[in-house]
Amino acid sequence: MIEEYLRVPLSTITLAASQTLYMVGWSLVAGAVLGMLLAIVVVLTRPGGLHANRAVFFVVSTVVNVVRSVPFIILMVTIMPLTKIIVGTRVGTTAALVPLIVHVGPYLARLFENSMLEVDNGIIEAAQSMGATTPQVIWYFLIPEAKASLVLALTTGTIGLLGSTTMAGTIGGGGVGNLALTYGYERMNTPLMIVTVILLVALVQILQSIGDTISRRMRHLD
Amino acid sequence: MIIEFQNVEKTFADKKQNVHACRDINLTVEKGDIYGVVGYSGAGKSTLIRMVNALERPTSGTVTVNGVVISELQGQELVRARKDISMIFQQFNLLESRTVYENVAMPLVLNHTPKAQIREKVLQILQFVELSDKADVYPSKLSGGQKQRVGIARALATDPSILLCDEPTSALDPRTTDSILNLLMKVNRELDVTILLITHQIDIVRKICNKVAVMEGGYIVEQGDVKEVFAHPRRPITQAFVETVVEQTIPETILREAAARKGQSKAFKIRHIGGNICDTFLADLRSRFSADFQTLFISVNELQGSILTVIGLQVIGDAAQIDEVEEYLFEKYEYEEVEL
Repeated sequence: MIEEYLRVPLSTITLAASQTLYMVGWSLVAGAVLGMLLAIVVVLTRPGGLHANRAVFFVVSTVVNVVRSVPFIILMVTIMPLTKIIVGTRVGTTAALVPLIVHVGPYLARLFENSMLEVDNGIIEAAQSMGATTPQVIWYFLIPEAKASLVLALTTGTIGLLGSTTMAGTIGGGGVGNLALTYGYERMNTPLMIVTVILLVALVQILQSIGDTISRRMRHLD
Repeated sequence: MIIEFQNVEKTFADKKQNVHACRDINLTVEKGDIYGVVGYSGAGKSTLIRMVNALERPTSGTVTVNGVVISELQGQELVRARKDISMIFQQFNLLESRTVYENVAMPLVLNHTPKAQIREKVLQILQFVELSDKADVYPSKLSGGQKQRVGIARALATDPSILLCDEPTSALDPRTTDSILNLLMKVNRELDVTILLITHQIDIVRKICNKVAVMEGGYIVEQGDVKEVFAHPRRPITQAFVETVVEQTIPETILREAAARKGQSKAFKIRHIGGNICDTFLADLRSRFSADFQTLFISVNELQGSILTVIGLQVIGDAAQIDEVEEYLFEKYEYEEVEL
């Protein structure tokens, strides 16, 4: 019945959904790791930071800004040669992971950086006065104190990523966005379009609610 | 000595100008002291205390702690030295994401102390600061005084020999302040911890410190035993500080009445430190001299187990009578003449 109404096989829909999940999932994990590393470097080396280093701060900060300035769809085609080197092909769902990670890493880095900068400098001072080493300051003080805010940042990043994956169809990445475009828009299948959009909206709402709830619990205010 | 500053200067290089936070600092804290550094904000006391655990480094001069020049330590050596110098803060700086127990345990976790040992130590310290019932509570649920108790407990976890207190009571109300001061005294006496504290509240110096240094514009302008400095403040800033806790102005109405009194007279402000002289002071004068006496004002203050008394006195009589009283006051008390 659903198939008749939407005029596509159910398997096409589930495939698109699983492709989106695959792209969001892996690029989120890898992007979060990359973003966290970049954010830590920026926080430590910024002027007044624990290991203030103008050169490193300038370079990393600039790279983050440059990558963030490039629209995802342009980034995707620009770094195709890099994609080819890493995954052996320029097209397909797995190939889409490379630009997605390159795109979301610096984005999350900025969000994580802001979260960590919210941690009161007094906390860092307290950590140092206890004789904490730099890795200890990061692991026991900076990240735990920022984690409620980091979760919100990650939520924002995930939702942004979901939006970016819809463009992955350009390089044959498939996914829900591609489904809406090729089957819905190009074949003028309005019901399919509407359902896809509703699903995406619902997904974003759910993600945001989960993020908000976890973050609130972490603040230990109530 | 346990902490020693020798010719310490600290300059912060700003874009436009150099800010001299600390200048020509020479200060010695002995084992067992509760040493108070008092000054208005911007006097340099915050920079001074941060040089003791090398959160700040002097531009020149040396800071020695327990025989080690801490201002030159780096890396692991510095990390190790800091374990013996704890610090508490005006804003407490507790970890909001961790319970009271976890906060107090943190310095031990950083030291890789075995869990069982951490547990024993933390429970023992929580009892010491009277917060055993709050072990599993998050800091956001605590009052300011309780937060500072956690701060103190956390600072004591590593059995330090020195406790640095950065405005420890400035965010607290007066009653809570007293309970924290009592706790700090208990830490000093029972655990044999030397305390260096900075504050803009001279009253807490009066209550718990045995030594005091007054800072102004980056310099220490006056230092010494609390009794001595409170009884004989020399610099205007010290006098201003002392006056906020030791009342020593003669009320204006009384001064006017004194001025209107007929006959020849002279007024004095007499200071005495030691026992209670409220009753004996005037009786003594009256039994010795024929001049007439009028008390203008008395202020009686607790000071480190002694009593600091400031008395305003008008002596009425002829020149010879007044002179002999003044001579007696000169021998027995510290005094100054007050213009009527």
